[in-house]
Amino acid sequence: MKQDASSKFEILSLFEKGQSEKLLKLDKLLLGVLTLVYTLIALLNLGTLSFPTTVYTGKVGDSLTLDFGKTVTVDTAWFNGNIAKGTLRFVADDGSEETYTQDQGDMFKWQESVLDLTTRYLRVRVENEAVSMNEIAFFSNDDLLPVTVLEVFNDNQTALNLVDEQDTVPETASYFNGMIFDEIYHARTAYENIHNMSVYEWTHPPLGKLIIALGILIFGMKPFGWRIMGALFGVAMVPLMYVFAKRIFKRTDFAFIAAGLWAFDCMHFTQTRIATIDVYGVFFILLMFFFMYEYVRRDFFTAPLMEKLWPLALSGVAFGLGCASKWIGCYAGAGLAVVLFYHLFSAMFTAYKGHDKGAAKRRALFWDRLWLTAGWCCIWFLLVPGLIYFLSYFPYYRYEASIRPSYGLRDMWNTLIKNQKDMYKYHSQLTATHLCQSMWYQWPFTFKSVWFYVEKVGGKISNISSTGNPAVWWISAVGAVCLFLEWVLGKVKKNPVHSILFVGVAANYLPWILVTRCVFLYHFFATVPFILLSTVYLLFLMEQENRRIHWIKWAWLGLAVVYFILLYPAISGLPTSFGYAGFLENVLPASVLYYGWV
Amino acid sequence: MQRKLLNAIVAVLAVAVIIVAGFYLKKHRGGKSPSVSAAYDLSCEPGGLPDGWYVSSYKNEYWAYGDGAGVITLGSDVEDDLRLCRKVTVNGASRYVLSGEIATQDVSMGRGASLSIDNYSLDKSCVYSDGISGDNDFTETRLYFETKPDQTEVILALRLGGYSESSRGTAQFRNISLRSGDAEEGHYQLLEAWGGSDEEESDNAFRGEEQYKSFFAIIVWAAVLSGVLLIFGVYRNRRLLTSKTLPDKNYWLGFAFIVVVGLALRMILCALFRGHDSDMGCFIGWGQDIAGNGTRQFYWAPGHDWYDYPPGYMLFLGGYSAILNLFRLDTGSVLGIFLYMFPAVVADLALSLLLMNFARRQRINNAGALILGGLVFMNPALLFLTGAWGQIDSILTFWLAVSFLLLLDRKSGLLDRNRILSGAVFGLAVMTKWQALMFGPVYAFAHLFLIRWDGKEAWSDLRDTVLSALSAITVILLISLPFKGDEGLLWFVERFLSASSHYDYATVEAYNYFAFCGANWKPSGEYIIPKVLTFKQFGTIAIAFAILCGFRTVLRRYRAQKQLKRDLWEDKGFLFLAASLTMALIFTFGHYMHERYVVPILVMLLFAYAYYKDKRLLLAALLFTVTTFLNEMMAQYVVSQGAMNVIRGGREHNTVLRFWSGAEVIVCLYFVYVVLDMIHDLKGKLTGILRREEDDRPSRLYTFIEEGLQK
Repeated sequence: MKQDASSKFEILSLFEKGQSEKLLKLDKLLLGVLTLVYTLIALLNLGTLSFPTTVYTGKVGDSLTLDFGKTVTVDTAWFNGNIAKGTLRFVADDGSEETYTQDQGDMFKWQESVLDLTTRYLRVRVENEAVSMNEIAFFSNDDLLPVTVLEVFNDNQTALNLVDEQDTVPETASYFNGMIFDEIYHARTAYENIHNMSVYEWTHPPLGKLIIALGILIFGMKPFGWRIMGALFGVAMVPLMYVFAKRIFKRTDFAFIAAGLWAFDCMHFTQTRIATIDVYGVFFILLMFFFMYEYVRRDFFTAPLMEKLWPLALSGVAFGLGCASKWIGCYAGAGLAVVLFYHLFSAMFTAYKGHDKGAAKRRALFWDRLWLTAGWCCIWFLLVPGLIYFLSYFPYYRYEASIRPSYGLRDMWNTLIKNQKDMYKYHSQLTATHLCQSMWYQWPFTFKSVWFYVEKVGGKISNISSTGNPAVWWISAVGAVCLFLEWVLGKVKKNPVHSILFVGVAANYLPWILVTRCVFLYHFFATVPFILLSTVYLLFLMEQENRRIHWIKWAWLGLAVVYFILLYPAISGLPTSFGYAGFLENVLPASVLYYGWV
Repeated sequence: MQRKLLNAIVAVLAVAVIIVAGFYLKKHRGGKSPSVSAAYDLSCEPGGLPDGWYVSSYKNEYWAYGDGAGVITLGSDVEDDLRLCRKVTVNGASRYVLSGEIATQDVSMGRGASLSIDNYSLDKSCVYSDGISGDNDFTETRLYFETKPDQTEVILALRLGGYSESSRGTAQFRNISLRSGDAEEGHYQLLEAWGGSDEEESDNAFRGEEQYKSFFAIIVWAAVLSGVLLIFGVYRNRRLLTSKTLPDKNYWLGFAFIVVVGLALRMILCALFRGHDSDMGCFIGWGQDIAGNGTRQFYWAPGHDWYDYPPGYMLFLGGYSAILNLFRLDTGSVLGIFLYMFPAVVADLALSLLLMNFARRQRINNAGALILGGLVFMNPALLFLTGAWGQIDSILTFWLAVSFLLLLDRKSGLLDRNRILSGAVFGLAVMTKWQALMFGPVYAFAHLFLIRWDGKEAWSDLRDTVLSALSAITVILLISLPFKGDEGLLWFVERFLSASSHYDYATVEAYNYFAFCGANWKPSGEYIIPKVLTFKQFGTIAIAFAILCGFRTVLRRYRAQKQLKRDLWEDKGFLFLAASLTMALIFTFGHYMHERYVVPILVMLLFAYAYYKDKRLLLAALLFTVTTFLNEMMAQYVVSQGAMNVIRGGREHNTVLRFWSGAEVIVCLYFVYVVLDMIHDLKGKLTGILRREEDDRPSRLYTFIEEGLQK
């Protein structure tokens, strides 16, 4: 019987063999499979690569004539706008007219407008301000009408771009082929950065948008292009989490559990598949804490100096990148400082403990290393991050330089400072309310999601809401509190991992208590990895006490995967029946997902 | 033990004497209970208007006059917002009922005729009773409203039409009165300023709504943190916490600390919540009613037909109120409310002491006993129930516990006095809250199995049991007698039956299986399985099953004891275990359940744990505590003023309700498993009851004897 019992768990016990902080073969295999699986899930239906990229730009008075080949009734037109604000007037053969006004939120997605004109030739004229259009598609009874440009006035050759990519017109307009939610700020600004235009989104530092721009440079200004970098950073978080957990637990199973739970967290999935900047902030925060852990877990006195200093340097670089992506990196940086000082104070305490010969040596070594570390930190936590932050404003400098001939270093500095002031003013004085806003204490239990997108598709509903996986967040919230209590009660051994986890939670979560502007669930995104690791750590400790509960972690992962699958239609945009959406909204304990649509 | 119990009984009797004395003094002082009440005399010279009233109108084409006999007529041929007004002084944060009779003739358009508070000119607030249109004879109409904390006056309005809802026709009003609404149930409207349409006001309204909704998160956090503290702070560390010897002096010092902190917390909760909106108002109103008007009319006066509490606690409340009135106490103040909560606080304390005493007798060390006492007096569910809500379930629990302990404390001699006393105390429990009857079957089974049928004591045991039943009946009759009025001796039976069906719903805010199925406040006649089984039928079957489970538990314990050639009463835990199991099953799967019905088992499980020392019982008690704590907070919150319309039935409410109901069901199933495992050796790997018992270790029946709790 005993043999049976052990063979039953043979596969699971395989995971426990990896009692090393390094990645073993099994780790690499598991990590590879998990990352691959998540990559496939993340890239599935991410966005189209078939999207109009050539642009018509017209100013007041510009006009052109379109030819449908024969007299047709044009019911509707789909407009795929670029960045502009203005009105187009359409005049039919019989003199009847319609207008379409392009506004700020209408860019890079298909907007439908009723024309109801019967004509063969359609005169198109820019009525006021300016119009910038990627493509226009005309429909009669839902059939796409073939159309060509017959004549162009004012010699504006970009007019030929207006109907030149009709093969990119989709069957239905959806998230898949257009911008959603705050993409109209961030992805748009990435496009502006590439084309040296005035920056529209200035309420966050520029690095996140520069990374989005990289995807656009590779794949073009297409939904896939502006979302791919976020998705890849989301993918990269999975191995990062795995390695982080492996370093903490030195166990393959716990590393796999932590990475698996993170991979199947709904917010990690949704928030990294939209072209906003939170993903970069959170990635760099995780990275800076990982390197800081690498630093503090090594003994201050006995570890080779460079082995200890390089992680510190890399943590500083990640800190700089995080701050340049979103200011949440600064909060996290304050947390890093706490961890670092705690580590140094602990070392000092050790150095001044005892009066033997070794103690004197330790004291000397402590001061040697302390000054070195302080100097090193000045370079990597002040100088380098400052430089990264300064350089991240390159698109601002470039644009300013293009319109101001004598733009120099001092002007760059002024541009930088002005933006900092503007950002602070914006965030501190923002009083607007939002349907999806929620309070900081509502976040861990996912009371309200952030609603990105909804559309009725036939008899189905397509929806994207950014919310936490209840199986990950709820359990992690409780687990983190439990671990803290165990630590307060002195039930757990002193370990540098505690300072990383608790400070990680505090630095990323507590600042939001003081923030007065309306805040959202995704502001908790940066805290989730730390409460997740805390709970896995608690399980790790409990399992060491009682081997019989080893199944709990697998059950937890299983529950998270089941929840992820159940919620997938509500977080991915996959069209689903109203009945099922109603189940998700009204029966399954999760969060508000459809905001009254079902 | 027995002496202490007897002392407790004597103390109760002493309280009863004081209460009677209170009644006597009250009667002879001829004092008047403080109540806010005013009937307005509308009589005046025919064609004129009564003193103190004035007309307000938008279009001066109205007629308004009195007929000299107390009837006021208001009318207009054009659509108008016509009001006969009177400014009156009120207390802040208080509930009022404005009532009167309205007749209408050809009233059309707009809101129609109504009673209203027209404070628009004062603070932009305005509330109405339901409007009456068309032709109607005099109809009784009531307007329930609640003043704001800083409110000092309101403008009463007999009204034809409304703000932006002009009406025309003729309306007549008579018998107008304003009274305190503390003792009256109704949908009280808060006198809040009307929201405007501009962006800032709509933003503020949105923020207010979000604020209300966000309280759900606070409730969940409170429950989660209490759960973490109980499970990780106490349960997981119980060995550590009880590993040190605690001298008696420190033991009592520790207990004093618990009492002080527990009392302070209850006072803070009382100041924050001021009791459950309707329950506290009922207790105060009922107490004052009995103190002022006596017991005889209490259940039978007009409008009192819904009074559904049994007469035992009412009798106490009346006397208690009479005593409090001697001090001319403001019942609306925090102190006044807290004093009405105080009996339940005392019951919490008494329960705590009872359990500590019991635990020490079961060879649990001082530290262990102190923790168990703390788990009662500092129990979040009980803290909230007595401190924030003001309910009296702990008094019921106390009587039940005393009754059970007396039953198991056999008194040898001519008569088993304790058994007879136990029946009387059970009668007290029934007269405190009808829910005691749910423990009746298990209590009766215990009685039956305690009779030594095969011994020579069978007849004397049977006699004691009959005497016990008679004593219960006597107590019930004696207590109900003063309330009898002109009705028959068994008047309370009908009142109990109407009370039990008063809330004919599958579940009334009880987070159980029906709530999990989405049946909160659903009529019990609706189907749980379409066209097959209604909630009521399902619940009835479940209750029968629960009683059967209770019977089975008692039976198994009886047999196990018999095999050991011992009497059942030597097992001091079986009754608590069986009663907890039955109640847990009834609460989880039965119908008509309210959120508080599960409260007694939180304490009973601790008694069972103190005897059996199976850690799983402690875990079950703590888990039930967490589910009940959240359930109570939610039930209190969703009926609170202002929040009710925004949050009740909303997404957040439903999610928390469903998740927590599911959790409660899981906890209940876990507890059922534990009991099954204990009495049937379900798990197999346990050494089992019988083998353990063969070891012949008294009061160590089960496998799970925890080391740290031994002396």
